[in-house]
Amino acid sequence: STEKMPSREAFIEIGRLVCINYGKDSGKLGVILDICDTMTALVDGPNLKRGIYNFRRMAVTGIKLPISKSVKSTTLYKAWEAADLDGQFGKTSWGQKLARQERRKNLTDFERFKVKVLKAKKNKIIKSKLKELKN
Amino acid sequence: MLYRDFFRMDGVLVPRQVLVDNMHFSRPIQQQRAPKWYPTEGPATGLTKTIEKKPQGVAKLRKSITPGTVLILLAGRFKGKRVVFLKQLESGLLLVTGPFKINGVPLRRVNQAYVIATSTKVDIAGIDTTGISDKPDEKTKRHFFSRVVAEQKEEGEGEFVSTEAKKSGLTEERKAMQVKVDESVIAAVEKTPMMKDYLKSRFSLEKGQFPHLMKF
Repeated sequence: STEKMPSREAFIEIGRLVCINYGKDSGKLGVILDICDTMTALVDGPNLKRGIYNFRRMAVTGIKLPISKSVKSTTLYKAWEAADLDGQFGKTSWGQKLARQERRKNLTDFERFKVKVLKAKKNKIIKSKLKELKN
Repeated sequence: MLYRDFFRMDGVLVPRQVLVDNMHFSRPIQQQRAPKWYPTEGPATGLTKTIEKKPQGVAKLRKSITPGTVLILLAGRFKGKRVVFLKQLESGLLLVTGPFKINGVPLRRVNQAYVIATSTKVDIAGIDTTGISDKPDEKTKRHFFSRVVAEQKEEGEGEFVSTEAKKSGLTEERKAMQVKVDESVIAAVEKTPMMKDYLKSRFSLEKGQFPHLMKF
């Protein structure tokens, strides 16, 4: 049988950093502490409520924490800080994309106006350069 | 003596009253007819409570609105315009200015309910708006914003009456105050880059923008 291997070493395992991507906790990071059954795992994170989450609601990252199964929340948070998981994830393009989306969602009216004007300026410059190159 | 006062019974004329007197009814004849008119309120029971109407206070200013806040007007002639908030007047209405030179909004009163308060603030500390009030004067019953209608001059006779165009209801006082206040506001606006263009533009919703998901 042909098994589909993940493109990177990102398996569902204890200590794996995951990003919840569905529901009210969407966008939050957590670490898998234990596997409950074929579809659920015990997940905990600084912004997440420790609990059982379905695999369908999370996206697996390439980052892993060296912890043992079902550690206490306090132990987990200490290990989290030590490994600087937020920073590690923030450096990835995925993390940067999430940060960008968050920033855009929280723009004030004035900022939105500035973005609109500057974007138009930028596109004008690009278009004129492109025209130059074409000719 | 009307013939209806007599009944013919067995060929004999009998006076009505005699008949009525001799009639026996299982229930008595109602001597009194039902009244034509009934009062709408029953007799006073002493159980009703009269609540004294408390005078309605001035509208409470939203925490997000402070002097210098940029507001988005949502209704009226200037809907969509972004204006600078100056102060809350005695009536509870908000005093705003465009400034006039930037977006054409003069010193104007605006209801808090028809306004979105943005988080953007212009530094207008030290602006003197004490001359502007909408509390009617005791004697003249007029205030800064009272309408002034210039008199119409009619010339000519009969069908060829020509009336001079009505002059705008702007007093010199208002024009002077507009210039004075706007001077300091414009100075503050020009300190921030792109603020002038921001106040010049109108607010509108684009595709995919939902006010309840937007931060102002």
